[in-house]
Amino acid sequence: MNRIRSSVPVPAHGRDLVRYAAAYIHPAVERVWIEDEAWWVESAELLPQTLVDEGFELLCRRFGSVELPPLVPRFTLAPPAGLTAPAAEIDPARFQPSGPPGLFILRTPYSDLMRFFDWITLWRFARAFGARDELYPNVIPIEQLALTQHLRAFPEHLHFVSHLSEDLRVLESFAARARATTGPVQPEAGELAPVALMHNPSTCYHCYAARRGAQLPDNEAVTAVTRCHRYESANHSDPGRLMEFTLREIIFIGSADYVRETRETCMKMIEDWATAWSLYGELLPANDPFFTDDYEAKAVHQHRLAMKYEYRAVLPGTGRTLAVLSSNLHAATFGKAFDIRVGGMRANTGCLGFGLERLAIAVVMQHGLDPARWPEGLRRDYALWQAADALRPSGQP
Amino acid sequence: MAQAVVADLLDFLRRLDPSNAEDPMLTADVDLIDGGYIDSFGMVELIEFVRSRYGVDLSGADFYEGQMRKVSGIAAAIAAQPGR
Repeated sequence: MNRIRSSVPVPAHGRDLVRYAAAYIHPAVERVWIEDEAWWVESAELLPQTLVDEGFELLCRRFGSVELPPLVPRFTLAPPAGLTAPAAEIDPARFQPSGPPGLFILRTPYSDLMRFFDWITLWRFARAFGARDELYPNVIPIEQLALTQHLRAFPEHLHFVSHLSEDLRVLESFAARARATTGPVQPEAGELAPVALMHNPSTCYHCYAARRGAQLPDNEAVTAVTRCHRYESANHSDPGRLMEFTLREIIFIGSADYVRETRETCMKMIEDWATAWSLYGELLPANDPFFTDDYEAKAVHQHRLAMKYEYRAVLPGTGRTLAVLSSNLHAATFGKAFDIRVGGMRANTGCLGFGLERLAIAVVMQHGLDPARWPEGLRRDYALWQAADALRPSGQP
Repeated sequence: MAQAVVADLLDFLRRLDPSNAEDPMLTADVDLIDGGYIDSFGMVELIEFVRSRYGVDLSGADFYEGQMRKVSGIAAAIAAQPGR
């Protein structure tokens, strides 16, 4: 393993964002950290000093120059002093790494927990808003993703989907190469069709795309769950930073007042839920790590309009927290992009999203795997789900 | 004067973004942020427009608060500048 120290000074602000984004300086980067007030990079191959320094210069200029006010928690549920170690470790035999970092296979009890958490978000949250259930594909057309501005704001996260060209010579050639090896076969130049589909990075994008050009008669709440993809390079080694994850969302479309009111209701519901489950953590304002040169303008805009909150759950014994949900306001960004109107005005939108794998990690590390030893509120909700699950007709999802 | 400034600002916003041009809901008293008529970059461009057109510096103004979220409020802020 190679280590290199950058000569670029560590800025006073934006350190976490720079550290995160530095994973994209080169494909060989495996770890980035600060030591003795200097940037350090560990990489699978020796990287040129100039490449590393140029990368840090760009990232520190982009993220280090923005001084946002300190994050003030809206709600805090502090862990008891005695909770200094995980109640249970995440068992790699049941939350099993699969291939590259960030991909996992979940087995019981984690697979059960995922179904429980999904159900409880519907029971505790979606139901209260009368949210209608919709089913979305896990891929999204690239032109729809372009309208969300995701291509320009988060290029580092993109996962492209393609297929071999409809050309018998290409198919024969590819199959012949595959027969000649037991290893992977890379397509050659020109063999892939142009990208028409992308792995969807966020459940709610389908909701807006499906309403393109619509004149909605009234405010609307929708709920959906999809498997989402985000490529985060070496950051996938951070606990809970999955490449593919399950995102249950409740999506609000309507007037600005409606979306703001539902946000306030969501905030209160999150506080009640975290308290009932003794899910220790903080409800904090947050910023998206916009990857482009307009980070400062976007970050200030997002902060001033309180567009993003996250519930960051404590991971006992690690000194770290993990965002298990986020509440987002988008103003009229998607209403404008997809020409969705309510009462003649461009629709405002908002969403409440739960990362179910992250929730499983946080609950297990805080309270363990034995429901009998869980906090009362969590135990009661779990029993409610078990009862509902038992009523489900056999063979039904 | 105030009506002329309002009309001028509305014209600027229609030119700023093609999707604003034909929108009948873009009026002097609509909330520009809620309505999606202006974003973080639009604010910067609006400040530059007002500076070059009226010689008024609104860079210290808070476009996220109260009447400054509306064209009518911005026009009033321009009119309130000393010497105007």
